[in-house]
Amino acid sequence: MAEKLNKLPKVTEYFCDEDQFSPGNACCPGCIMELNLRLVSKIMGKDSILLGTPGCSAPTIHGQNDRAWHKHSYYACVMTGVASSATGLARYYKKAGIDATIVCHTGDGCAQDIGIQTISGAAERNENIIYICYDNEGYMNTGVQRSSATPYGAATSTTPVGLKSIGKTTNSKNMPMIMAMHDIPYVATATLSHLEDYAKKLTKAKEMVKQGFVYLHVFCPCTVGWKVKPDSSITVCRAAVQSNYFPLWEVGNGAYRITQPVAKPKPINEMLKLIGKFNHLKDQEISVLQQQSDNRFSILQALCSIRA
Amino acid sequence: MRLAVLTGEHYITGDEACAEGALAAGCTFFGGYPITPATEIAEHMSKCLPEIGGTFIQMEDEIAAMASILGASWAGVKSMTSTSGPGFSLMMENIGLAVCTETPCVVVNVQRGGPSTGLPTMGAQGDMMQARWGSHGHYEIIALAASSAQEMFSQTITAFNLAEKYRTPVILLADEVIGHMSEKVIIPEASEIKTVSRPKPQGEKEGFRPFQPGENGVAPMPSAGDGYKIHVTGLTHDERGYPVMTVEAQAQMVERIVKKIQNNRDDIIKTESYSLDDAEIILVSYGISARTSLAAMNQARALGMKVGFLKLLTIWPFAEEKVRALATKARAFITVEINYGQIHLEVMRSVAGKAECHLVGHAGGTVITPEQVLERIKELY
Repeated sequence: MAEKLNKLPKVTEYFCDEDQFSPGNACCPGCIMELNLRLVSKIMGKDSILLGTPGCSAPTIHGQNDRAWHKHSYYACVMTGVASSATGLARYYKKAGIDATIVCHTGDGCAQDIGIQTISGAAERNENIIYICYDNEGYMNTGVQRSSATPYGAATSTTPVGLKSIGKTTNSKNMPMIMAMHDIPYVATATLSHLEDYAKKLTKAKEMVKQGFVYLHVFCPCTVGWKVKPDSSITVCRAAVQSNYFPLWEVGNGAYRITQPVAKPKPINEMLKLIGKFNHLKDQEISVLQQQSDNRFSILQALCSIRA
Repeated sequence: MRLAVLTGEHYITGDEACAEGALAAGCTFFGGYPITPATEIAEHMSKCLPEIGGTFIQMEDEIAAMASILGASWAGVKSMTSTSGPGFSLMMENIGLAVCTETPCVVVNVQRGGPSTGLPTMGAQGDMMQARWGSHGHYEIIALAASSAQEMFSQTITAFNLAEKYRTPVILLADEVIGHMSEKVIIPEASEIKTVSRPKPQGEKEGFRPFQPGENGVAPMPSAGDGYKIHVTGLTHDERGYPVMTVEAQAQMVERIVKKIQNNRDDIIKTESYSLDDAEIILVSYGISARTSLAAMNQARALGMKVGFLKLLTIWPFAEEKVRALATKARAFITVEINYGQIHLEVMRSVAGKAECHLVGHAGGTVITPEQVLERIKELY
């Protein structure tokens, strides 16, 4: 299979395929969830079933019209049961010999907080499921509350900034690494500024899911919740990668690899400047965030060196 | 910085009024999880609780939120959570634990259209029976309703007072319309607000029995760390709190939990009566539908029809004695609620065939209009 993976088509070739995700949604200006879902659905193809939850995608996509998802079967599960409902589908199709790709697509609140039990369970059972977490660092649909993906210092409606409050006081959960520690066939991070990288990982995911559970963690800035200019969400994605705040990496069968190494990482502040939810942070707090980011990256580097 | 009691006149939403009521009642712990249309309660608490030295925690889901307030309650503080339909469903196991372990706490359910994810941003009153019987096993529960932002304030205080007095979870059943509606709320001076705290044990610590009932059937409640030996379990337990797996222990424990509510019905159940004395037709309602009903009653009276209105402030235990007494005088009852008949069934049970019982209700998503109620009154009159 390694040979096959080396001959992956370029992302532009995917965009020549029939679009499985049709126009007509109500995403906020500058939201990159649509781009994310378009790429996911193109690569996963027609024979895939998407599962989601209440979240941004509910009011903006499948709640708005019957067009956007009309080429896919879509199942909106409850937040505590996505990976479990997917298990039911995956097990049946496997038993029946039907070649279908089961793709869960949820936000970070579902993946990391309320739904982590079922994801962890499905990963441990090594179900044939692709789980894609679009990480917008909080509960954006209900009005920007913190989640366990919300970074230190971020202002949200439940971590308000005040005279004695700097916003969220704890670090975010390193979810892709948590999933990597489940020793599942494939885990990768991706973001929308690096579509070629993301497309390759989605293609690998479609192959690797035949071996078992696959987890993709996708960095998706929320223009409204993060107070980012509508034309800057891709810029924020790129800045996150270039500062190693959100490094792009993958692990398949125990081998860790940084897929987009950054020769000269920029200070994290370059990214923070683009994001309103960090506007209030002082140098001391920025250095805490920088330190956290550095720590995580050094762990990743160490894991990559084990393979070497 | 602010005071716990925000004395004065305010123009705030029902959700914010609920949070203010909790603070005025002495709540110092909130564990919650975002969910429309209750999120604003959590958001308001996240801003205000730290300012009065309290604790706000956003938990990872509603199961954790509900469990966290039980832990806080055993640490000795007044605690609450707020949610809506799907979260309310997730809280049910821990609500049962709170009943079984006699743990005071307040759960606010700002109802939205269901079942399942339903209509997140649109109101309904479909969780009335879930509040009564949602957790497994046989038990009694106290549940209140609120029909205005002002009542969201006052009923939240009442919820805390009843929870503390009877060592039991108390559910406040609001709805999206009340939760999101902005109205004038008058918050009195702190000295005018009556608050109740749980009975604390006195005397010997040796041999103390944390589930031995006092005079009103409620056992004094120590906090973890007070020096009393405490064993808290959801298993059937005796007065010491230790598991006893016998038919006799089960009967004794469940009977105590049930009777401490049933025997104090007169103290717990509150209703408001409007023009009931000569009423031939009586409207029964609660929450946002109570306002519909009051308007319909006034319109009917203006047309010369003898219509009265019984507003339920307490949903559970149900005001069956009151309804039963009214059934001997009135010829028909109309229950007005945004569901297909839940409290309507309780009215029918209480009326027991002595009068006609009708329902004005629908599946949810909007309010019932006074005209819809008036139309039914005219049909019956």
